[in-house]
Amino acid sequence: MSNSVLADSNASQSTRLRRWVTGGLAIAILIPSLWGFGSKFVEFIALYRGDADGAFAISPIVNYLLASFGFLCLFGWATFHGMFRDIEAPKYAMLETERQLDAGATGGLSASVGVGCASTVRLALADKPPVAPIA
Amino acid sequence: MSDAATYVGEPFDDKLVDRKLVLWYFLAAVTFFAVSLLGGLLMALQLVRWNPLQGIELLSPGRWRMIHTNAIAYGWLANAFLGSLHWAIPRLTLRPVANKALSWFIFGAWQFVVLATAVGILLGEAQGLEWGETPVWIDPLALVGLFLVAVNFMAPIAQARGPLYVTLWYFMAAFVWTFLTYAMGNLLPEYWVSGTSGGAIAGLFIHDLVGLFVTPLGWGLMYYFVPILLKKPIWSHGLSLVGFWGLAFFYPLNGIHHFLYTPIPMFLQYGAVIATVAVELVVTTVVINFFGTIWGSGRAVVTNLPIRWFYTGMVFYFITCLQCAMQVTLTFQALIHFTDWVVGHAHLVMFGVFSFWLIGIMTYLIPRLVGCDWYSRELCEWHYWLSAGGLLVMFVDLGLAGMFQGYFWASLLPWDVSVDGSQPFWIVRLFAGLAIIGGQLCFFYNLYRTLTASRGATAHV
Repeated sequence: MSNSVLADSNASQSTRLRRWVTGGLAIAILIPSLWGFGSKFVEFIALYRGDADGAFAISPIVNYLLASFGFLCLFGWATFHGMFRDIEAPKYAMLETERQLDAGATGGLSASVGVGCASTVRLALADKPPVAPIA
Repeated sequence: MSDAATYVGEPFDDKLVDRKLVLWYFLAAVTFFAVSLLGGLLMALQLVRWNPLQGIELLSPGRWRMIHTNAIAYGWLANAFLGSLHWAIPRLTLRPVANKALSWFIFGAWQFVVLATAVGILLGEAQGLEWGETPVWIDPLALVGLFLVAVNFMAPIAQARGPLYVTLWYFMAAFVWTFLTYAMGNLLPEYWVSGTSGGAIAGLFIHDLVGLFVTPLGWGLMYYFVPILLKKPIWSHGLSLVGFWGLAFFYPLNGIHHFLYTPIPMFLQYGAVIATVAVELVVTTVVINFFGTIWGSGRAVVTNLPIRWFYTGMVFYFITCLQCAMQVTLTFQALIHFTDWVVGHAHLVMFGVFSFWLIGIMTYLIPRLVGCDWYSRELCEWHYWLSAGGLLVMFVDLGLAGMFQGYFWASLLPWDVSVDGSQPFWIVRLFAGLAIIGGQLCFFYNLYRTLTASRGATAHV
């Protein structure tokens, strides 16, 4: 058997194992969580229906759901717009922007801390000692 | 004293940052800080039965206490944050704020809101909402102001391209959260939601004011200033985003933990307890990230004064969140509720964490704003040590006082016994407070002399 076939077979086994582990963890985490959430939600509905003043519990819950839903949408938007693709890039770009601002070289800067020149910036920083002295 | 707190005379693009506005915000912040310190001192004197304003209704202790807390939240913290944002956002996005005239208008309007709040409170028009005592007629004005702040700062952020740096995520969230939190706390219980339900909303408001207004702005600024002062990137940008999204999803439900053992349904109280403990895990990721960043440059804490303020605040932040995770358990809450433990906790958060960060930012920025070095490095050191030492003593003292008070009450002894038993702690608290005030007087005098000296210096900007 050639090396490439062996490598493919190992990779396939590794993928299968990863799927089993992911699936197992998903079941182990999601089922108790959903059960917990579901039972609490049923309790909440019962309170709302059974108690004349029970409706007051709705306001904080609705507040929380509204706030969280907005951020869930924002999280989805950010993910689909590649905000987390090169996740470490902005930290290098930010430092480089600051360096150039302090040097007075604002003319050549075009965008923001998330600019596409991040990899160049990273290379530039890599030439420097990891811990620069406090100037 | 730090080299980083000295003026190095770097060239600067004045079109980007309105330095004069940043300085004015800082001066307004410092002025209200002084008022708040005076309020705190008067309350401390009242507790040791030596109120110099005895019998003057307009200046009664209850009103001074509200002046103390409101001046800190809206006069000191809000002004200092706005000044810092006027520096950080244009430099991060490389775009000025939407409208500089609007910035000046907001500056003036905000001072009016804070002053009107103080006058309203003194005249007995306080709204019945802790930390939201702003008279009801000011609330719509404050909301318009917060909306304009969001518009003015969101414009440059919205134009930024590519993946955003974590600071901008925090800032964007803060602009939305602050507006919503203020509206929720000041309008819902006042006009629509009454009784226990209003209490639940008030609980959310008190805590969200800390977690969704002060915290995202504070951490956002730390993620900006710490790397540029250490001259190295944050340890993990990915981890910083975990912290941000963790805050977004876990924080909003925390506030109910202020009302454990109340008629609010237990599942909501349990939810708040769990969410609070979850936030502690999020906090841990943030703290690990910052200590990972300074790893290998630890000497900066000694040599670099702004960094020392920042990291002292971070240690206090971790302590305060750890305290929070403990004190929201029902067992612990039964002991410390309504006691001075909570007062110590609040001072650690508002002064030890966020004020320390803002003072660190001012220590770094003021030489850059006025174009000359601090008048006295020794006074800067005194400012730090008196503030940190005084606060530490006050925090430990009030924590102990709280536990003593809790046990006094649990033993069902007469109320007077607990008041008499608290006296030694309140006397220690007075002296700790005087140390803190002494530190700030060093700061104010140093600032005054620096500003005076800057008039004669050649501005190199």
